[in-house]
Amino acid sequence: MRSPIAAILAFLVGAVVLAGYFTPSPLLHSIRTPLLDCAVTLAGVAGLIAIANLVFGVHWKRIRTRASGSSFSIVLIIAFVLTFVAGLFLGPSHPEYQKVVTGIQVPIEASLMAMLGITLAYSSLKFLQRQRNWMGFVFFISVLFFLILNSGLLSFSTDIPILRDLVSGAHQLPVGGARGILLGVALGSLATGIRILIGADRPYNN
Amino acid sequence: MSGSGESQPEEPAGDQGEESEVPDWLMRIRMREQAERESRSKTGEEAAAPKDWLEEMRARQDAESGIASPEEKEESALPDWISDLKAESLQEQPSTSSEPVQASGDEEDDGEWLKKLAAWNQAGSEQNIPAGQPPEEQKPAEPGSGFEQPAPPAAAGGSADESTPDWLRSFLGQPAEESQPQAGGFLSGSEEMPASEEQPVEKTISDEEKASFDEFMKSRHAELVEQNLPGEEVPGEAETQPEPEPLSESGQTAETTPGDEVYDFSSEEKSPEQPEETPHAEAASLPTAGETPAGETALSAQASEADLEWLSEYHETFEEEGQAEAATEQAGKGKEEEKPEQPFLGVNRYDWAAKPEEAAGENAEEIESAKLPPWLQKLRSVDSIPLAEAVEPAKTKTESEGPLAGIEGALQSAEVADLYTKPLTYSTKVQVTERQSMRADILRSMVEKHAVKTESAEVAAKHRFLLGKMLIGLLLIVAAVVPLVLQPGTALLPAIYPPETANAYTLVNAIPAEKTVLVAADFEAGLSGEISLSSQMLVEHLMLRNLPMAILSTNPTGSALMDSILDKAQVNAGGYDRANQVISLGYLPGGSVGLQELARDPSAAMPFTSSLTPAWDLPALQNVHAVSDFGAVVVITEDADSARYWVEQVQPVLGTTPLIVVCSAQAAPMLQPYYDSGQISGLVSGLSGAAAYEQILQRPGSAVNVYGAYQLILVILILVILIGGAVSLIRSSTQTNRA
Repeated sequence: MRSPIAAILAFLVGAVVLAGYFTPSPLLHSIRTPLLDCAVTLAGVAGLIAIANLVFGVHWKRIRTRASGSSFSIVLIIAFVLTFVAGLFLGPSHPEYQKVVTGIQVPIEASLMAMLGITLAYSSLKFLQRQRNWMGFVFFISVLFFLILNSGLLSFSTDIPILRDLVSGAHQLPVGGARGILLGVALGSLATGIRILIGADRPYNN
Repeated sequence: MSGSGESQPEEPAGDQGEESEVPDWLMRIRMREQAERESRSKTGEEAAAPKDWLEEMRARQDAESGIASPEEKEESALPDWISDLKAESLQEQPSTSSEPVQASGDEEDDGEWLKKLAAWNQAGSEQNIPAGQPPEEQKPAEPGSGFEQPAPPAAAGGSADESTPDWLRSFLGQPAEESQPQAGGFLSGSEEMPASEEQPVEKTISDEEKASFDEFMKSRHAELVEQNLPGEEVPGEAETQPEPEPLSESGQTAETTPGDEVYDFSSEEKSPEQPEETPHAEAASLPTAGETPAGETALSAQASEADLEWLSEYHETFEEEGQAEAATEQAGKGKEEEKPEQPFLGVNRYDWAAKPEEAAGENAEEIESAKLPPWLQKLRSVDSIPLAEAVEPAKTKTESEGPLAGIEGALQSAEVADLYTKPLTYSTKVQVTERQSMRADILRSMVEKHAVKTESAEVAAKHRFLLGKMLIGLLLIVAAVVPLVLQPGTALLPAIYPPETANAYTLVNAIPAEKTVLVAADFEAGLSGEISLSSQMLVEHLMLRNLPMAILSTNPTGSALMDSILDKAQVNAGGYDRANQVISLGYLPGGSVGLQELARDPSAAMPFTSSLTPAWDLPALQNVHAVSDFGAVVVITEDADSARYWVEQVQPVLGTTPLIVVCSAQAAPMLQPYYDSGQISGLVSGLSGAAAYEQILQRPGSAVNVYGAYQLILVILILVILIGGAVSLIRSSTQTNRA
């Protein structure tokens, strides 16, 4: 909806939900509840539409136009149909049906994660070849330190008070950085929400 | 000077051929003149009033000059060649004075001075024409030529008249003897032009002369109108025309200055004595000093010779042209039966329309065609110019296509389309010359050497990359398998338990037995291995405490992955009634919005189980009306954001209900602040946390067994990174030194 109506509607809904969040008013509660229900329902339906678009809009079109990789699209559609039919008949909690997830999806994704680890390890070998500067060297040293720190090889440091304190302090270093990131994320989320409420950003207008 | 070849100054022998050239009006004039002469000769009456003025002029002229015979004077004054021409022209019919009148109105403007000459010539021709000579012999002037028949030089006895213009008098200054017949005279014909150093045409006409001439023309025109005879010559007019000023013996007239010569432009024919004259020959034919009277005429003769050289040039140039043109004219001409009276009576007038052959009828052997100079040709009348063949109209074409099909003479639309061609297409192809291609080949050969090296280096690098990854992978696999196979559980376990892990243990231990624990399985399949190791002991702890659990997930695969963990935990825990104690609520869509809905009203957010049975009627959830009614909320996730959503949306409404998070090692730093702020009650992060939890629980678990391999892998990675970094440093420094 390319009109002020969309912006007004977004503002009203956001304001009501936000007000209901801070104000335990029954009226706002009564308005906020159906809005949230609708949002949840829409999110679920949007997921279903996304799946349908992926199957019919992308892969089926690729098969029809005989584009490159259409054979994989055929496999995907077949797997989808089988899984969909099995889920309808068996149910998502059926143990046999859950093997589709545990037997196929888990190994595939786990393998990808493993390859990621190996790739990172190999890249770290040539890190100093590409980043021959002070920041690169510092990064290289920090990677090694925290690998050693988290590996548990310094468990003997608990017996040494100074070392123990140092190790404890070292454990807090990442936390400090994470806290800064979280603060930034929070502020950004706050600004984004305000921009949507005031109509400066309209992600619903595409 | 020889005249043009178009019309010959020859005698009327070519009259018949002239008929086609002579326009109708001229013909009528000639006929009338002829009739007048005949009537005059019959009646013998004197000329009418319009001729009186001419007679007067003649009488005055005679009285003043005292010349007895105009002919004699002319002959004595004019150069021989002019006199010869004059003699020949005397044979022609005098032209009527009406011709100039009958000339078209357009000609009066152009040939005004010629009209004067015509009038003068007429007066002179009457004296010069021998008796009985047909009037056709004299050829009328071309009306459009702009050159009327010039007045003959002063006739024998003709004296300067008051009404005679000065320029005309100067023509009469040359004695008759000085004139010689010129072949192809410039103005061939019966007229004789007074020779002078300057061409007569160059003489300016004074206003008085113009006025006198105008008066004459008006009177003449009035006469003609009264007589209702267009173009008719008034009888006696020729006689009344002012006689040309006779040439003096010295070749000068009374008004001419010494040195002036009278040139007879009326010479029509080429002198038979000079059939083909060269400029030099013609100059030689010019009257010499010897031929002229001695004394005063000597200089004038010499001057005339010099002046007339240009005439000789014209003569030679146009002689041949005149012959050719005359031939063409003769072929296309009609028959001219009569020759009207010449306006220049007594003087052979140059007949523009006469053909050389016709004119040569009388003196074919002697007279040659005259040639007109270019400037004179331009002034010729249109009628004298042989008409070109009529241009045939373009052949009409019958249209064969289009809306005009079948119509003849229509615009050729189809042809118009043919005029437009396809626009040129410029090729985008590079036009390379031979030299350029040769240079390009040289450059290519120079570059190819380096390119080959680059390709081989890239292939080698790629191979090294693959080999390195394979080697590292093998090392890691060995490091992971060997400890598990040889000595499981051999590891350097942490001596100090993390406080967040200890709190998690404490909180789980403190959950009331009748309270249901909400377990959120928000992890993906990729890190399910680490998560399962990390959460296994906590779930076993919950089962050991026989706490009911409500399982939900904010992603579609979480619930399925959670079932595998529950199965293993159930096996380890033993005696846990999973069927009644564990309720699977399914998938909660909407992300943070769904969590907010859950936080507001869990029964509304997830009313059914994964089996589509009402969940909140089950015994495990009967006492749960809000999220805070749960004994604890355990969030199992590998993503820090998911945990954050739970912290932001659900934790505010939990109250005293603890929020315990089980996460991967990568998310732990991001969730540590939440633990430090108290929003997260307990935190179990990664394999180390799980190992610590197992140590606290004092139950052997898979985490401890795997922890040794985990440590070995980390050691190997550390070594690989160290060695690789060192090698990189050394190699790069070596290359730098070499460079």
